[in-house]
Amino acid sequence: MKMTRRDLMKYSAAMAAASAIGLDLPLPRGAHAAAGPDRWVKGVCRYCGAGCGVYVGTAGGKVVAVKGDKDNWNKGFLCLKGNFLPAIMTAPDRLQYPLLRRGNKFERISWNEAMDLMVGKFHDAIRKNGPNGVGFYGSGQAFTEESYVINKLFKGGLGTNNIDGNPRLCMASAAVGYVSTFGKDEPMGAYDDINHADCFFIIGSNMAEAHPVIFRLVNERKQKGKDVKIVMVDPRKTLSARIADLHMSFTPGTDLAILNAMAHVIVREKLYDKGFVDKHTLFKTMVDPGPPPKISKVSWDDYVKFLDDYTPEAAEKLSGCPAGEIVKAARWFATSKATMSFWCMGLNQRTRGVWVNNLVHNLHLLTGQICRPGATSFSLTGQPNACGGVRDGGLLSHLLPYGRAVANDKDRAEMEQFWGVPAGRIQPKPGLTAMEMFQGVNTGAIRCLWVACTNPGQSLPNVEVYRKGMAAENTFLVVSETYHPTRTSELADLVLPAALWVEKDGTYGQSERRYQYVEKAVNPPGEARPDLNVMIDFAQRLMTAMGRGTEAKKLFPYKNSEEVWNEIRLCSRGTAYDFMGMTRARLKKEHGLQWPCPTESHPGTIRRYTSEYDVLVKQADPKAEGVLFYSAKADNNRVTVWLRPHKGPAEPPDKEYPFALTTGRQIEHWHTGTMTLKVPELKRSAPDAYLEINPRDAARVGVKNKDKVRVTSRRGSIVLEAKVVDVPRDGLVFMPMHYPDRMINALTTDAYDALSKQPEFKICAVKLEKA
Amino acid sequence: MAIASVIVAAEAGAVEAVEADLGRLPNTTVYGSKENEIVTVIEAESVAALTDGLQRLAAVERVVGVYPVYARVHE
Repeated sequence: MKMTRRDLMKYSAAMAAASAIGLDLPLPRGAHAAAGPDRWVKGVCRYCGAGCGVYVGTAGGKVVAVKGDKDNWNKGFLCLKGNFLPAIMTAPDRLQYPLLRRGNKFERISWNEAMDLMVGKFHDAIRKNGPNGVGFYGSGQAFTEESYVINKLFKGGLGTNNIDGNPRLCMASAAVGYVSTFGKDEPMGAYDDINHADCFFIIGSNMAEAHPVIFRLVNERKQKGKDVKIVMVDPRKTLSARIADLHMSFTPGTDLAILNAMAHVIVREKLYDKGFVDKHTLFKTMVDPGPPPKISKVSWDDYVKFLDDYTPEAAEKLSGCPAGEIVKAARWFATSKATMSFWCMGLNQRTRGVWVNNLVHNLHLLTGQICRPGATSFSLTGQPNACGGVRDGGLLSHLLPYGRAVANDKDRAEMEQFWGVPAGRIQPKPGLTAMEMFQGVNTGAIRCLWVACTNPGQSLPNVEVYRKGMAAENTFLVVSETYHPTRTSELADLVLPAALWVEKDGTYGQSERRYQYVEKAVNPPGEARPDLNVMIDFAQRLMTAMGRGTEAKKLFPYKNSEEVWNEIRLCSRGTAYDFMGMTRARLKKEHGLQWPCPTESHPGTIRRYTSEYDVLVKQADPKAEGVLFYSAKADNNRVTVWLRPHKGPAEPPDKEYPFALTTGRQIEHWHTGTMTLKVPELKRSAPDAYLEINPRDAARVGVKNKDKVRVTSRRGSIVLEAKVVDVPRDGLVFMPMHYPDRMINALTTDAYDALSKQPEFKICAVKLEKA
Repeated sequence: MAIASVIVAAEAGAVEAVEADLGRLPNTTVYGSKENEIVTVIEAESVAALTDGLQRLAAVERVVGVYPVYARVHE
């Protein structure tokens, strides 16, 4: 039968899908002429922290297709957003030239003019106010090389720690949670654990929409495994709950009580692993939140006594979650062959974000459900390089690269020596965190702020307050952006056009410690440049203006991203991260490598802290067998079970504002929509924000589906269309976060976690009226 | 013309029924299945119309997931 060109294209598409599931679908005879891209370039998806491997198809110098990498962890699968990636490259609002604000208008200027102006303003601010008068706000979407270089400039070159990143808004609580429990950041497990788990405990995560490809693996495990249980803890009955065996709904902000009650059941019913607890854990409580927090070691008996207050019945009273469900979840968690937890912003974006992270880890430590295939405690990540560039690379105001801390004398001295800057250059006091930095912009303490690859003019909580500071005349705001205008670039004094995704090359590190190289596939449009190139240029010009020109040449000699990467490998050598085996050549060839990867023959580490998989265990203790938490050296390799009491949100609903508002993602869109809302088919599918409310609450408020509703918090008010659907529990409403013309963050609270400084986007109080 | 290949995941034991339902949808071709996952290709006159096709797949009874694998956006 003769195949038409259309048939060939369909078959070609079908083959891509068939190969993803291992279905043999041979190409028909004579079909090899099917139309396709000229060239396929290996890379990583531009969106979330899942880090799906992709191949980018180009033709005529443009990106025309994307397909999943079947040899990578994602087995060839991509989500809806990933499939439509080509459209983000050619959006009509791609910025091609530097723009300078003149009054209410922007005018095109040359790169030379832009850099001269920027250097002059930063130099002037440093002369007048010292290095802490300037700041940088970065991104979990920048390449690792970009984040490393700008961190080196600010902390090592200029001597200010006022450099933070947008992961402060999305995963700081997870990072501090891992560090406070295990001594070091990042999950110890991998996506491969999904293939071995018999119980999934998913809390504060709508994986089906926010991380669809990881959710597909969970779904696959559920279908293929024998008696695999899924527990979903969420006050909304989301798409993810479709496959759950147990959906536990609760009053927002009361999950600390539920997790402590699960621990209560595990202890009361003697479901804990005494051998593991005795060998690997210790118990701590926070006597005073500080700062700095005062911490005290306590005993197992103290912990058991602490849990007395958290009977399932008491937790039910606090949370509205039935006691029977708490008991069932605790038993499944403890008695499965292997339990894997997943969580995301539902836990992290909270004023008790660190505490609730600790409580999830507690369950794994009590039951020994950790450091075995399928048994692990896994925080999902929002951005493609939040783990790699920001957490690992130390692009946060309290960190230095690869597990080092600003406040630690030895770490500072080590980095000063490594970078070759004078002793004492790195300030011992952590700099301003994201919210503090924008408060500093408001007060005038920060005179010059450079924002790169992120959109705080839309994404900050209580955003209108901070937009005023960004737009103020005495603030010099530089924004490096791919598109213009965004809700941040519209406030800028200077907008620099940035190359996007495969228009440049660099390294991404995703949630499971996997580092992957993104190869350049096409040229950027107009005069847009890779941020790395701009950062090196700026560093040399500014330090020269400051009389540190010779030093600048030594600090920033890089001719390409590979030279930066090689320095990063050296910087990580001998740390718990150790990238020495991840040469650029290997990253080009392999489908990602997981750290620690200390030598070029090392395959990467799928699971940390266990001698079977992690070479660093034997390095820490040659006699060690099995689990060794070498990350917790200060506590004799014992990790911490924390006594964290239930504490509710900063702004619970009350008489005047009787509903809890939560915000989150839709499957079609990502973050502030600068990319996905440029994709016509995604925009058509999900064109606007809405207020999700259940039928009972809708009836109480007097609104019907598609009615206009005014949503008002103590900070702002917006009108949206009602979507009446039985998803959120009574008293809870939901709004998607993506839409720039809706600015839902005008409503959210900027209260933040005292330990992680991450704001509580997930809960604030609102009132509703039919508009 | 726009084309997308999609893996449609069906509930356990429902693959044949779902395959039959998918086959009845307009501009939809089923190429085969493995375990509970069905290789499906949808066509549309424009790329914008592809999402309608994806939504139709998701609405089929006993479908538990729709995972696009490949899409030709520019043609």
